[in-house]
Amino acid sequence: MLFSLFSRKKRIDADSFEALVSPHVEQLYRLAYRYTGQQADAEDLVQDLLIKLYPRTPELQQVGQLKPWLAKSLYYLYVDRYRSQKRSPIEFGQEHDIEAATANSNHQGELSPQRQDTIRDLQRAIDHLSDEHRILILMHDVEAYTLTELESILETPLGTLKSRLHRGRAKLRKLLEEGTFPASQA
Amino acid sequence: MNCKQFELRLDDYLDHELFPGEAIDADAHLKQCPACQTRVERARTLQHMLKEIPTPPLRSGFAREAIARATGSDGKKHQRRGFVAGFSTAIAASVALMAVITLLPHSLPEQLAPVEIAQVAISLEQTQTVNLVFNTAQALDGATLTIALPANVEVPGLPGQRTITWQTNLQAGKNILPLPLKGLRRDEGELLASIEQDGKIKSVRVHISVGKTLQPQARLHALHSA
Ligand SMILES: [Zn+2]
Repeated sequence: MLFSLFSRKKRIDADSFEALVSPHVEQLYRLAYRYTGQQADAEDLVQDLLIKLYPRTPELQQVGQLKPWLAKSLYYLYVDRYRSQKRSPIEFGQEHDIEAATANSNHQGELSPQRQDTIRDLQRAIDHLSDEHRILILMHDVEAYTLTELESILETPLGTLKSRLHRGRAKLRKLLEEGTFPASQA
Repeated sequence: MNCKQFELRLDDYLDHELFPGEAIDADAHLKQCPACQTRVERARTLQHMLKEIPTPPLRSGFAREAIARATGSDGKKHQRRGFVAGFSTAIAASVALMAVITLLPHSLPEQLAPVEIAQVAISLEQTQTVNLVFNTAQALDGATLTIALPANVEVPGLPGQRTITWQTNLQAGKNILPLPLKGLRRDEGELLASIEQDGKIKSVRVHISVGKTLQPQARLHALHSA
């Protein structure tokens, strides 16, 4: 008896959790992919986030703007993991998953081989940025989060974000000019 | 406005965030400066390209499965990581996993012979890189790699640590893990490298001799210094 009550309560929680988060899973996955560059890592990160958030369902129900709130939780989870990864002395040298992305994405067919090369160069250049610049460019310029949203997600003042964004872009342009990025031909 | 001043305002210009007066100055400069016109054109192209960087589409069913796992509605215990749908059937059907071990300090092996048990000789008090090569028929996402070290070696930077475990993705084909090992004491030992995914484990043993199988020159040197 006790068991069945418990499981019914659990079912209700599970349903409200699903209703709350399921509209955001795709966007979280995209962000996670931006951070990690690997499809499997992105799925892992989102899975971990959901596992962490489920016990906090009542708190989630109180959140007004769930999209930036979830993006923030994902960001901090990523930062935690990234830091622990950096401590690991041994890592596989992994190339960015750009092949899989260009091969499977919705852009398929639109992207010429040259364009794919250019995007690969661009991705490499982004990977060379400091994490601070990289995250901001990925979230703002790639995923189109506004600076106002990012102010709360990254817990950083607007002015700081803006100058950081400009420095990051300048650095990116410099990297691409030094490299083989054919921006003017694109 | 000169080029330097324009360059400082480039991003505000692109984002339409200049004050009206500044915007007029910037436009006036731009009209008569081909260099800054190129700058703007390149920067715009870059901003456009950033929006084009693709992501692989979300795997269909992922959202439902991930939520079910999080809520425990799938009837399984939480697996912290390494969750890939359909993996168990995939691994049963077609993964041939083997470890190929060669000892080539600071270089990647050119020719690799698959062996189940490899022999490696390491000099005492020296660090040598053992390349563990994991050859898989298909990509393994979220696999857990565990290296259990024998007592006669250690990984520099991880003194005293006998087991190293971490999550990784193996790509189809050769995955090379350069494992630095330092010979601690003149002894024989066995290193165990295992890959675990979804409850399935593949392991390979590497026999490690420290300070015994020296090269002739090294042996001579050892005799001299003894
Ligand atoms: Zn100019």
